[in-house]
Amino acid sequence: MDRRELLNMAAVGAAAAAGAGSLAGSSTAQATTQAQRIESFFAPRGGDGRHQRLGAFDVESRQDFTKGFRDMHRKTIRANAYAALDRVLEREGIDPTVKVDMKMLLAIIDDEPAINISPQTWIANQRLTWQNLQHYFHANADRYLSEMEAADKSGPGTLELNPGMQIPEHASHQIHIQPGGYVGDPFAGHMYHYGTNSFYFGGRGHNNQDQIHRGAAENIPVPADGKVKRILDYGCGIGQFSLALKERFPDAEVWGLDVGGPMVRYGHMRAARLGFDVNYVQRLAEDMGFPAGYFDIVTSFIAHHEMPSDVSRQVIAEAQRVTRPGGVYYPVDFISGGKKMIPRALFGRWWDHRWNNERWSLEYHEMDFNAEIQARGFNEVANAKPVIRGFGVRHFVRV
Amino acid sequence: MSKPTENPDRETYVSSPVPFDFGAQELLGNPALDNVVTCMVAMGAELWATRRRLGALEAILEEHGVPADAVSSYVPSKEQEEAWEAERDRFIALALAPLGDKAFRKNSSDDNGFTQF
Repeated sequence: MDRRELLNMAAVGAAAAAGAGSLAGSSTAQATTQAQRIESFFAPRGGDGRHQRLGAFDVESRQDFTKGFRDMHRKTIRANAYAALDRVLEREGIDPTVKVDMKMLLAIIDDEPAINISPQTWIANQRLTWQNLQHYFHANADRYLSEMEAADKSGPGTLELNPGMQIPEHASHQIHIQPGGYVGDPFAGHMYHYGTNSFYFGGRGHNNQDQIHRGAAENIPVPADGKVKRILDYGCGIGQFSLALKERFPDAEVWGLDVGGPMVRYGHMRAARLGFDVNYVQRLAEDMGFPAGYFDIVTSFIAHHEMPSDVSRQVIAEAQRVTRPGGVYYPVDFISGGKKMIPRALFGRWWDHRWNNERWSLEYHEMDFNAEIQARGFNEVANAKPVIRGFGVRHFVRV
Repeated sequence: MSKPTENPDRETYVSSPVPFDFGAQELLGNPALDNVVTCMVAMGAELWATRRRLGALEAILEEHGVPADAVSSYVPSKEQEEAWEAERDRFIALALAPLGDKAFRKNSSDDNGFTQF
């Protein structure tokens, strides 16, 4: 059996099990045998549904620690830091419910260990998360590169990589202090996947079955005429949202687009293994390369807060171009609008920007994102709901 | 032998990232203290990994009927000692190397033109 056959069989076997929680869910003994063989081939330590275990027990243990630490941090360290911030505000005679600007906030919290222990320890854990993963994948580079090379031309779904493309400076930052960012490490996709599984656990729970992406995809609105033939997920990263959209709209042609070659490469490999016919392309969101009016739904998942605001505006215009009249545009991202926030919120925004290298988040949050979309050929739908708890409501229809 | 990622014939689809000052945060009023806290978190991960590994080992031993004191009385071979030394060095680099991160304070000397070392 050659590698291609093996990959195709992986798709069949894993598709039967995707979402079911176990490869043992395959309907026949033969399929189970094949799936088990494939699972053994690709993940020496097995998996759980669509989650592939890390290849080494100790690496998994360190990641397990980082997840537990994030949970503890949120419940204890961050809570105590907020309490300390409230005490400082009281000392300074500042109402904690009144919005302040960054200059005022930094003057208050500077050199206050009881407050700053929170970002310090969070960042330490974040660094540890990435270092652990990067060390492992680079130590096993041949194996993981070979897997991606074999998967590049496999299906279902297609992959377009553009090694000669000029990567803009704004997309080359090492966001979330991930070493190399989304473009500078061959294993950016691997690291992002396992690293964000740890991250999500600290605030929103498990995501190792794409639960968060699948939940959001379930809530994406459809056009009024009900026609959903083509869907675009730009800034797709490793394509978890693209995959979730394909799961909800199995008959639709689904595309994931991202500037990061290693990200879409990993995304394609993963989708193909799981049996999802999704197409991934390495392109710029501000120059998507699709025909005008090609898509019925255009969406993105927390991509815009990782772009400069001027690029966000270009991307909205490009999204307008590729969305058909009456089509839905729903870029999922955080609530935005305004330079001032209450001190607790602004404190988190500040250190996440400066020390977690959320390079463009301040620009994003200062922008009235809905107004920018409304100004570029979309109508906002009244009384819409967020597709994910605590995020901005961004239900628009192409004029 | 070069690493696979250093082979120019092997396309990895990467480009140069914008540099970032990893580990340069000074949040606790004393950069050395920042480094110590970073180490403590890393040490926690190593300790948990070790405890989890011990748990797995004990379970395996139990399954195979090996008495618990077999570990306590175990004497490693020369080859094992050498291999473990390499693993020890990796452990120390991960857990304690941040102690050597940038650790000078921003204070009045900055304004007096002193070179910082």
